Amino acid sequence: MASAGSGDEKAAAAAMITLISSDNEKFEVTEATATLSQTIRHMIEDGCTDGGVPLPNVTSKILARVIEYCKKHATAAAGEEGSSSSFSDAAFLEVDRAFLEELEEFDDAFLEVDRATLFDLILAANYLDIKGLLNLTCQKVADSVKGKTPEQIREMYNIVNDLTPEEEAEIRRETQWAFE
Amino acid sequence: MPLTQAAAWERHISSLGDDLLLEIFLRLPSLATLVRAGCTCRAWRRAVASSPGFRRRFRALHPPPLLGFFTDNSIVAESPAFVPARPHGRDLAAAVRGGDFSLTSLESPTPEEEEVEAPGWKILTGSCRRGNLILLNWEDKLLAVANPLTQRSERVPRLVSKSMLQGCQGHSVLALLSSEEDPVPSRLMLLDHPGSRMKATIFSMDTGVCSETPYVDVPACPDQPDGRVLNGSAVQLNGSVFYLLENWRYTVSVDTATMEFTVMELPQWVWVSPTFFEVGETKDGATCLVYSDGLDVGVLMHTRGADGAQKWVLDRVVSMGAELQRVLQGQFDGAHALEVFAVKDGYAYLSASLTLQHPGNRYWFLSLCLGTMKLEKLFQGTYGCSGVPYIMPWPRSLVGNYGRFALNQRRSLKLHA
Repeated sequence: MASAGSGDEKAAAAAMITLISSDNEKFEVTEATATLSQTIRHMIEDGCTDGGVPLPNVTSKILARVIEYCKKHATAAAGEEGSSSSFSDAAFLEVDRAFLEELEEFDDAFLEVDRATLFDLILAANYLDIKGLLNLTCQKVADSVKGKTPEQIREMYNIVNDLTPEEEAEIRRETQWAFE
Repeated sequence: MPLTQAAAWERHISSLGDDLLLEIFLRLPSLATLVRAGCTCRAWRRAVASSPGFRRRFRALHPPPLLGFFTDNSIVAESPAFVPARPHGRDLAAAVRGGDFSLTSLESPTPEEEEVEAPGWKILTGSCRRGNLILLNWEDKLLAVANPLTQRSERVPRLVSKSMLQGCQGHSVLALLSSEEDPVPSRLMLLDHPGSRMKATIFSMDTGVCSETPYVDVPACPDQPDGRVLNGSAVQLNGSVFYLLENWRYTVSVDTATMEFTVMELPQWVWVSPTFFEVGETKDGATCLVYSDGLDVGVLMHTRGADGAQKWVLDRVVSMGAELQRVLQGQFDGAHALEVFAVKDGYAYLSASLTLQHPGNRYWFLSLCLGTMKLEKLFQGTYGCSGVPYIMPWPRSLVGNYGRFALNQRRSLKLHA
């Protein structure tokens, strides 16, 4: 079982995919890394990845970050599959937990980016259909809004308040409790 | 969008578009945070208000909290008393503090009245929908709709309420009609059920116009109709008003768009033994009927067959003995009987009473999650089994683009055109 699994991994590692950013930079990644993106997975399934996959919506700067995320999480996914199918000892569970903690630390460090990059990552995660990355980045923005007043949110995200005073009063009239 | 050009300017949150903005909002921890975000700018409010799908998903992730109960304590006071649910977060406590839960807005005299009347208002159980309650003053034949959260109440003109209430010949119930897109109740429906026929009278709060349907034939009720408005239970759910009566073998639903009546027979065990039953909705908005019989709780789902025929189908019956033991611990002696008195937003509300061998004992008010069938203790009371749970409604300013918001939306669309 374990040897069959590692054989598959080797086969997957051998298959490399070329991703091409909007500014024409080429990135060589393993199929296992690339298929964290459902969009690319479908392209591979349809057999249209020869000559590279052009990604006109993603810059090289953002694509490099996205690949960094996918590499880490592809290893995690492979590790999880291995442990659930072939091992059940406490020792391996221990290793598993340590790995999950490491993954969490990776995610936290990964999100240490400026706001513009965070929005670019959200757009890329959405376009490439990478569920984990979309969840991670959207949650980061949601956490930043939590506990803030509308004024603080506007300031943080450089938003112009275009609600008329009457509209604002209409919202607050029945939801005053949310502003105390 | 080609990003070689975009790299020149810094990306703004507005470039995410409505769908991704709503993905972010879905991950906010509470309705209060969403309200604050919705008050940031016009685009953010509109994104939330324009998407019923988002609102459904948000509600499923963050079930609307129970603010408390109106209990009918007619021995002590003439008007309903509010018991806040506990524990409460900061936002919910502020909602109860800031609202008019003692319903003082009803006591100010209207222009046609010379002085403040004796209260005498009763909240109709089952009437609470989207934050609004129906109040009835039977002695003076008055009707009103109140929203404690917005501190607003509206009386039905005295002449109209008098003619509606005095025209009742049989068992009668009232229901509030409102739509998902405009949650302010615009219509009151009175269902009158004398003998083997039934009709609906609808009063529009906006236009002041009353209209009624012709009588339709329905199965007769074994009880003698007495021409009084009953305290409960007609509930608007998924576009129909459901009417059910103790001792009766049927439910009647009235489609609020077509005013078509549908009679559905209840399974025998629901009406044969002395049970309590209420119609309400599951967490995902499906219409269900929950009944209690001793320590058993049963759930029936409202279904529509391929031929369009509607019926109640039993989903499950669960004995709550072990659950009562778990939540009431030492106070549970096996002699309790459960009484369902409300079903809302995926929860049934019940009271657990001791049987007559223990006179003077108090009741426990409990909530039952219909998803997990787990009980939770709410509070103790001596009020009997009636109570109206008040659940935080979705704020009107975050639903649809009504009134002022609609005008401004039209204006901004014109500007863009």
